[in-house]
Amino acid sequence: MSGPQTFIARAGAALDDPQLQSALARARSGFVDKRASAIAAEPDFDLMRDQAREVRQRSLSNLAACLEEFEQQVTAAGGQVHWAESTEDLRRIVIDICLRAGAQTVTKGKSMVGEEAALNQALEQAGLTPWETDLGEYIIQLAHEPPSHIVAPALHKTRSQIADLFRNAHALGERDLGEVSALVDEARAVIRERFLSADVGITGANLLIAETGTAALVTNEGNGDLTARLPRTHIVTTSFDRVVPGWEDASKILRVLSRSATGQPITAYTSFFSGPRAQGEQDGPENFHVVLLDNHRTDLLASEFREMLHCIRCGACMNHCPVYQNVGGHAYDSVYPGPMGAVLSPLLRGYSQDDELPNASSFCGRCEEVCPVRIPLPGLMRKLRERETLEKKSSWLSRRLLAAFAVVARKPVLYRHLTSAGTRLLGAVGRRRGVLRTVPLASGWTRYRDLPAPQGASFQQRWAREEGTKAGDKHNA
Amino acid sequence: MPDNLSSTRDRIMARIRAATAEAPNREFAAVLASRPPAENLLAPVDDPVNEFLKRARSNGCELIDLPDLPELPVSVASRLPGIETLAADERLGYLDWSAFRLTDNTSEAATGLVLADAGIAETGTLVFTNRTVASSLLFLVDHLAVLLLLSRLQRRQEDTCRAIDRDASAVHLVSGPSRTADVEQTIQIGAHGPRRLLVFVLDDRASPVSFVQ
Repeated sequence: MSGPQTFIARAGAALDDPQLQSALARARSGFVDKRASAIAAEPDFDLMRDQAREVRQRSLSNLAACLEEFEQQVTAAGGQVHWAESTEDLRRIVIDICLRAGAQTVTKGKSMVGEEAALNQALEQAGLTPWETDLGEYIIQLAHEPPSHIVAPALHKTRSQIADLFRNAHALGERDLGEVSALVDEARAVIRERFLSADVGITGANLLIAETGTAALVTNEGNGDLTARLPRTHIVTTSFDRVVPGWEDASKILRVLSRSATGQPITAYTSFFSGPRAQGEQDGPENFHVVLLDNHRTDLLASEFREMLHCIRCGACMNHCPVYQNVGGHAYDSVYPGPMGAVLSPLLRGYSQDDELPNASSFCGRCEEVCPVRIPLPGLMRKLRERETLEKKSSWLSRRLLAAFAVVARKPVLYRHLTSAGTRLLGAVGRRRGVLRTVPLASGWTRYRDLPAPQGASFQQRWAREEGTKAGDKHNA
Repeated sequence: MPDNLSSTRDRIMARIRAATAEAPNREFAAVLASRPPAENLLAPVDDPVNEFLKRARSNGCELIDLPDLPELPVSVASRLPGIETLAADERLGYLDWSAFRLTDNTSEAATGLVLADAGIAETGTLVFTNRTVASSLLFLVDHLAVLLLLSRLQRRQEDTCRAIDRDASAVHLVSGPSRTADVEQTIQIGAHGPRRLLVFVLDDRASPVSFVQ
């Protein structure tokens, strides 16, 4: 996508886009409320999170042993494991498998690794026709846009925008596409033909299970299964850090995944694929390939950011992030948006403009609070900010301001005087309404929301007063 | 080319080993055994049958109590009026299906009928492997009718993966009709897979049923 070059400019454009704002408003309550009610119905949810986190930790500390076993099991079942150091490797391996299979058409289930590697464009350049089958992915393929959410890729599209895309793409004459059901039915009919005729199916994997060489896939639509089982060749594009030792470990992850993602105790379909169709089986592909991407994940594994590899891609952090909720996924200019993307994008691709992303957070901490495997996302963003400052990549102005703050913060008397003067000033200006509509030099804030006016005293003054009252109470008792 | 590929693998594995500092000759069995003891277990599923029924219903399944197996064709017909073509699980083929035209072609059948390998109470889930049921039968039909024998009901996912044939090239956990929320977060049933999922529940715990394989 070619758009504004900075996060701040993209975020500004997003806030001014009424269609996007209406799509985001819908999603905000949808995801958050559904997750909340799923968790309220599950008294053991915190225990489930602890178990899932333990599985992620144990899997990563035994990663080499798990991957050796995974590869052996896939091979024993008649499949093949491929290793891709870079996204370029992944594209080359996948295209090579397709061409050797004599393929022309390719159905695709949702794969974030496929998105990370921009696989569709590469398949097209190689003369193949990729057909996205997940409804959200299909919509953004028609719109020639990247996903804006890792679970709901077309979250930023409204119903009428989707209807326009369908009218443009499907020559089906006059028809009413006003209802959601009409859109879903049309996609079902169009994509059904493609499931039945595709030469190769490419899916992602939510998990890999070492003990049986298995790729596990979680969907609600059933498109992943039709993509995996009907064509002669099934290719799984994923990254090596998805592996867990055994089936019982997989259960621990699945239990928190869909509750955190869509608020379901389990999605409609959870499927486990191990190798090509074996003798005596009813159906399935003749060829089974798993492509494991690195793309700097081995660097993360060896770094202070290892916990980011615990991520199970549920999307809860972005659903609950006040920044994401207001600007959407495209402002992050990465297939991984929101808090998890703000950590992952700089580490996986390291574009110079990615330094902005860890700064796009108020550190309110909701992402960490809802993360099913308790990744300390604000802590990891803080480490990235530190790194940016130490490497002197942040702007001159922000470094000067921080230095000035450091001087003031180390002198308690000066700090008290300045904060109480500021509080009095803002309090006096905003006393009548309780809020400030405009503040000089802060239009970036006040353009979209009011600034609450301080209520006459600084935090330290109020603290001193409260403590004084309490001490008095104790004395009286 | 093969040399190049294997060296990519070796480079990645070497970096992983350097990062995790794993003992080079650690057996995978030892990794599996390092799972923590089952002391902090989740609350037990005390009443698996009711838990299954409750969960399956809230997943959008239609539940039908089947008094005995020969009733199945009549029960299916009454629940799916107007259905003529049926793609049926061969293990159930010996029942009297004279009211239907049976077919092997799953893409022409609007209705599929299958026997579940297991059920999971914890999430109201049905389990299939492609050793016994074609994956395409589960996903291409408009309506999926499933026979669940209560003797095959497991409490949790962990119990289930020990009870089924997990070496099959496909194991499917099915927990409701196909659905999507990709258009404006509105849940719409019938995305790419079955629009209806009917579960015929047969209590065979006192009098076991056997099938001709």
